[in-house]
Amino acid sequence: MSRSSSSLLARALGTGTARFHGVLALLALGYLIGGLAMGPPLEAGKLTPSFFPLLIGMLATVLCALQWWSSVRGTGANTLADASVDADTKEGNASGRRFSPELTLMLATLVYVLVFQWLGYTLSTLVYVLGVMLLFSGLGKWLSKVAIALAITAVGFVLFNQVFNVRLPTLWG
Amino acid sequence: MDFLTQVVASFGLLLNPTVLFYVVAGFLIGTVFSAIPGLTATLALALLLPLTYSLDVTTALMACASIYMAGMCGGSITATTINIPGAPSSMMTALEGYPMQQRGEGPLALGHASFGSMIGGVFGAVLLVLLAPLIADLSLLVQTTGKCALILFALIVIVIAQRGNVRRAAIAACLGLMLATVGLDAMVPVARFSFGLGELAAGIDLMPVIIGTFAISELLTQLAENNEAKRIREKLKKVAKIRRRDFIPSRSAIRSIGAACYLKSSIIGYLVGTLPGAGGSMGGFLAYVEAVRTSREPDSFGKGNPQGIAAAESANNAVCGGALVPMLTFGIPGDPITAIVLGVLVINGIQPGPQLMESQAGLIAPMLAALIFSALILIPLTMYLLGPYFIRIVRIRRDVLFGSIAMLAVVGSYVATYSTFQMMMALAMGVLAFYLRKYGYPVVTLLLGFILGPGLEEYLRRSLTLSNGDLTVFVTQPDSLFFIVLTGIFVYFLAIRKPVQLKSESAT
Repeated sequence: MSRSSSSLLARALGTGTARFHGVLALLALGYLIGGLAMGPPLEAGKLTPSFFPLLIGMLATVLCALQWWSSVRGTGANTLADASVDADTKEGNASGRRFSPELTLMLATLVYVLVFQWLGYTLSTLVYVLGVMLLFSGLGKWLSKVAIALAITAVGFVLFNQVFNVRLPTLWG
Repeated sequence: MDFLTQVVASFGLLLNPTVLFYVVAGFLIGTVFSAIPGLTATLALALLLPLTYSLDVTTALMACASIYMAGMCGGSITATTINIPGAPSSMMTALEGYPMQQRGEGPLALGHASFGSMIGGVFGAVLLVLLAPLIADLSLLVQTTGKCALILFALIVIVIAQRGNVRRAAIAACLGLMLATVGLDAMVPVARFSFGLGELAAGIDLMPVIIGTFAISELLTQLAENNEAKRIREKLKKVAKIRRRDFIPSRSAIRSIGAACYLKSSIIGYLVGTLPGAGGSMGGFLAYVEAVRTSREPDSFGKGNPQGIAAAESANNAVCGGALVPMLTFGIPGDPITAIVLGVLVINGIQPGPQLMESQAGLIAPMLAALIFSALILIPLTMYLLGPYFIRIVRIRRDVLFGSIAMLAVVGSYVATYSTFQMMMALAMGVLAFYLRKYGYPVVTLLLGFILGPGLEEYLRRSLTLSNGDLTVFVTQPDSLFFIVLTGIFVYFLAIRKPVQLKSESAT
């Protein structure tokens, strides 16, 4: 493999931006294949349910592929912005944290959703709100944060359950 | 009873304390959210969307209208005080407001912003009341092929309005269209892309898409930009105390700005509002450019000229009235806020379109009354009463703010179906929107693609079925030909011709 082609491959897989565009291109391609699996777009002169997905899938695949290719080649209109996003990502990686705060919040929200019905609104929301607050402002003054998280949970309960009559799950419901 | 009389009669609803409470609370929430840099009135509306399930639909729409109006003027607070627009619509206000703040006239700049917002907001809303029934009558002439061409026009304009980012905007719109195809086909009972999941067979609900796109992705974005927010907080701490009496602009100052400036800017804002994807920032920008162009002292702009503030703020508030025209008459939202208002209608089983103004006038008239009330009464009153405390309000602790937003967003998405599946969908949409935003994709085109997708598919398939697959039907039918020509004109002016350049823009 020549040096130029290996550097192109490194850029294709190495930068966060190119990887993201690549993922979108694969997603669009997967959608297009899903559309193709639905059957032909025309049957007995009539348009079938696969017609529109095929149309959109083709358009999306072409656009995503072009976007990916321009980011690999570094010729996109937003090359500078892309470089800045990549620099931010590298900076985040260099800080030595295993999970970025955003990823931690995503995981925390996922866990919250999974335990919401099982643990009930009060307990799960209290822990989740406290977690979000800690992510935004660190561990300092944690006792006051627990009190505020309790207050937010209580206000949420009154708002949803009492004012808007929403049945929220309970631990022993 | 004609529509105008119904709107006038609807002011009586504001005498009901519950309705008045929701309208005023909506306005205050909208103002605070648009004043805090990074947060928007769209986020406020997205968080309140689940609550509309339990709320009377008339009250919900009136609250939405007041949030919308507040969202257009609240951004001027931080635009003026710390040169960081709280909302994109106040971008041009910062150009003149901040120099005024630096010479100790910040409150006066806010007063001018408030007065301009009031004039523009009332003008846009009144024009909407007067013209919407006529446009609704005209829209009855648009047939199936015309509707398809109109939706396509809206989508193309939304995409090309994202200048310098058109390809990414088109990809985001395609993603929205792709998401809209999930679930049962509208014409044949076949489930598409549901992967055997019963919850997906009915399609993706609008609410988790809105909450995910605007609330959860915002949380993630704000967390990623936590250091920047700390810097803004430090800046806010240095802002001098604001006194109530300094807000009120003198009559001579208003006279020197001139009625023509307010009127012209309001008309520009209204017309821009009717275009899909343009929004308050475009309206404010064009009105500002026009004010500079026609001014006898163009060199004074960028140095704290109140005329610039008046032009930008009149225009961005007039956008509210204009943006509701395509939403109410064709069911085509031009921006995220009107998309959410559309969501409120859809959630309550009301389909926007040409018949809406006739069949649901009882719902629409109070909403427009609330829009006028917010512009005429709430904008100046809020600025006068709460103005001195705004800086303290926008300095609210971020951990408390985002803890509350996280709770409202995730629990809110549970409300519609009492299922955690919707919460999961909201999270998935939030993560997708976060990464799209991170890599420069405008998520507004994703949302509008998702909303307009089903209509586009239905009308396209119907048009082609009726014409036996003959594509020329789109140029032989006058209604669709009209929108195709209109699309061509917009593509020429927005994408091909060189954009308007503004010298002082570079100063920002």
